[in-house]
Amino acid sequence: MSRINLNDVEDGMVLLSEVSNKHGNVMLKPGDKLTDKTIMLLKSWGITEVDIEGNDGDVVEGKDKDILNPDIIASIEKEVKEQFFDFTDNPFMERLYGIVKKSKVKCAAEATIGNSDETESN
Amino acid sequence: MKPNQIDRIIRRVDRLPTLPIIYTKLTRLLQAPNTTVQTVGNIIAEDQAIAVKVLRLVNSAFYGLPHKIGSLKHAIVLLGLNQVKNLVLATSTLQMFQEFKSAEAFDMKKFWEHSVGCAIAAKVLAETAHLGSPDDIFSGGLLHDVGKLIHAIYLDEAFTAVIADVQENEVPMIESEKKILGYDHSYTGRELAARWSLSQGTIEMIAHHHLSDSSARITKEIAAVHIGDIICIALGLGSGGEKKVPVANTKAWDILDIDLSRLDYIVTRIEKLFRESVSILES
Repeated sequence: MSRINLNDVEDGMVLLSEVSNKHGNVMLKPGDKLTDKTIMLLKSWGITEVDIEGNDGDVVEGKDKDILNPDIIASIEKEVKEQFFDFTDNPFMERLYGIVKKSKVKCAAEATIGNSDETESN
Repeated sequence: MKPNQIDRIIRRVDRLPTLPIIYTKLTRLLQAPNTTVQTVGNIIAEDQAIAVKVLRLVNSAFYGLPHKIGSLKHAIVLLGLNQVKNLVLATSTLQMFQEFKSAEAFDMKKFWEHSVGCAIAAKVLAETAHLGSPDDIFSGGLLHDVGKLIHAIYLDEAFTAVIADVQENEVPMIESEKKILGYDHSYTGRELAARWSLSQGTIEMIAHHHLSDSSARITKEIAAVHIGDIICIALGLGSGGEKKVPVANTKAWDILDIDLSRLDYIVTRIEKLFRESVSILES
């Protein structure tokens, strides 16, 4: 779950907690999907942040795992590990390392899709 | 080289990098009574290039304001004098960093990008942690590695050896600086910041951002710059010369009291603001 600034919220994101206005009236419920219109309304009510459904930072997303060869994922993980000085008992570093690893795997997966699109169109 | 030799370099006023003149003018103005928005706007407007960049930053995702801001005066009224002063600092430091001939092995442009990245990261952390002075933290982040500027300009041969040591032996830069120079850039930075009469808070952020002195008191402001610096290195936002991502002080993260689940969003926001700001500031 993530608490996100309304300027960074996008159409289609799903609310995790209810949103009330300053009078305490519930305007939106958990599970409601945000649209461009509701985002504008929330801003006009003076709301700046909302809780959005998200996933755990350090989990490599399922679809990226499916696209890439496990050996490639392992080699990316090794490369990222070597970029960090060793750490132990450090939840912040664990999380940061996980975020960097996930991002590199995602980029590699996107590059793979891009390459296979090119091959198909040739 | 010993610390008193650094003091001698720092005291050579004619050769020392100075804070951008526009920034020092604004700082003095803000300390004077009866300063008006008009006067501040006029000072900034004297430098067209800076004025344009400040307005573009004001209208970018950096602030996410609902309406377009068309004038400097309006920007100053909305954001406040301190925020605008920091925007001016960010826009003018690139020129300042590039004015001096430095060790060839040190990429001054990437160093400036890392400085801007750390400023943004520290500010995002400060806002998330609801700290009282996100603007001071922004300037602390921007200048946190300013000691490296002195090393790169005045100790270029020795600093080139430091850079080579870091790359080849994969050690943290402060360790290599202490070994080769006798002291590290946080010490030099502190001396320079004092010479520039920066606030005590900013001096402390520069002096302690590595938290290598376990006895130093960790304030929330220092923690924001410490963690912001590490996030930037991990994300590759510019480069201050480090080869590997340093290990964060666990107390620093704890003192910010931010839930770890928010880190993903914090990182995404930092990257977005960095991309947008750097493209405006470099244009």
